[in-house]
Amino acid sequence: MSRLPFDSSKATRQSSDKARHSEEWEHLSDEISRRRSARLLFDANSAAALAHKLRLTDVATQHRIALHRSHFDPNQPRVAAGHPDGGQWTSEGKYAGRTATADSTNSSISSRSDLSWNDLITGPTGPEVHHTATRVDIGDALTGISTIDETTVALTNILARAADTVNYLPGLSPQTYGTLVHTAFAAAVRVARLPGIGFWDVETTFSLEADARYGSKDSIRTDVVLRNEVGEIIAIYDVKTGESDLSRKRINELLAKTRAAPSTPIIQLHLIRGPSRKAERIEPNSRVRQASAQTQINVRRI
Amino acid sequence: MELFVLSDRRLGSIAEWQRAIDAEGFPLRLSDETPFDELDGILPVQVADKQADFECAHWDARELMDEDEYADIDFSQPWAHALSFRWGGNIYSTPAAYMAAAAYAKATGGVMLDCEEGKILAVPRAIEVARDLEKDVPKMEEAFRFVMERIKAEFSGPDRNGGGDPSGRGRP
Repeated sequence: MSRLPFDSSKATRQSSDKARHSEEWEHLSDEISRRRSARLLFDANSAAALAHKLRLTDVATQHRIALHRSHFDPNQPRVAAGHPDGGQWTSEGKYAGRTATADSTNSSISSRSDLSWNDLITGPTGPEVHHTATRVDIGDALTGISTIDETTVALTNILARAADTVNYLPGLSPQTYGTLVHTAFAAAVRVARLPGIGFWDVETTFSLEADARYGSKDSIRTDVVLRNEVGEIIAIYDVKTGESDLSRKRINELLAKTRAAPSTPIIQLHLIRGPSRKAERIEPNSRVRQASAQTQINVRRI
Repeated sequence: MELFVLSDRRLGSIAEWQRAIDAEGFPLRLSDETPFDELDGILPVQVADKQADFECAHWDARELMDEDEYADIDFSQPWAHALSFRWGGNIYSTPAAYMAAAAYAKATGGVMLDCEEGKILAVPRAIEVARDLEKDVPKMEEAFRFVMERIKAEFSGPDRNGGGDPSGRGRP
């Protein structure tokens, strides 16, 4: 059997990566020199001032972490009064009141298999009130290292919002749901431009082979890696949407094939999809369908 | 996302695996650049006219069944071999992995451990799931467009995701 006609740009992705990394490395080298000089100047300053600054930074970080642990966000929208879950926190209110195809005869959105999802979501003839409520349990995932912990919180929030977007689609199988959540999460992390996570740190392919090609032996793909200022991996994030957690073998594989330090935290963001609940009620001028899905994200440091 | 095929025998080559896929009528082509026995990384594939991939590696089945994470799974018997499949945000990788795994399970008389559903799927169900996913590709593409539209609107950044490439890769 002959070689498949794969896209040559994809086939040479590793070499493109190398060229890009080389350019980035030169830039990084200048940046390292600049930062070292700054660091020397900084260290020459008063130790007391430094300690004070660190204490303030720690207070701010702890405050943010405490807010997150409490699941409290003063700006988080609540489900509107009149809704069966009225008053409850919801992780999004953005799509509430968006229109969907009216279905005056069928009370189940997912039963409309003849309609496309786009029809169900954006049709012009009737309103659908939709809300989701993603709960977050960050557990013992925090490391005490503010750079990592703030990224963990930010990625968790992005995953919650990505899940909310996917939850809006009715009737997804577990496999399709998982695929779309991963896709939405990867895209959202790329556009979020979080510190330490570049475009290429999302769904990155690593290989133990020096001149690895796309598809080569010993390669592995991570969901997200967080790097420090000199480009070293300081945390690896893995999104799970199914029933299983990361296995010990996979954890070892992630550390070995990314060449991350053995102590590098691997943080699992496990999205657990709750049962979707649908209801229907009649308003004076229209039939309103309500769809809700409750999901939970368990964040775990491994 | 991940799944495993547990079996008591292994196929001998990528070609044999490809024949098993073809026998099911799945529109999937496996790259044969890496010999089957050496699979331990990303395996490029083609689903109809779409390029995709998934990680594929041989695992020790006993080690897999002993993992704490699978303690609740009823494996029904102590399988000898395991083949792992992993992938991320590429909508074509999901049907590809399920088609490849279902065909492999059927050819080896094995079963599929579907980690999304958290249970063992016998061959007929594994084939059914694979066919459903194949059939759902157009809906997945539509859903992908919807999701990307919402993501772009919500995060309000420039389009840095390759202009809506459903493979989720963006530019090389």
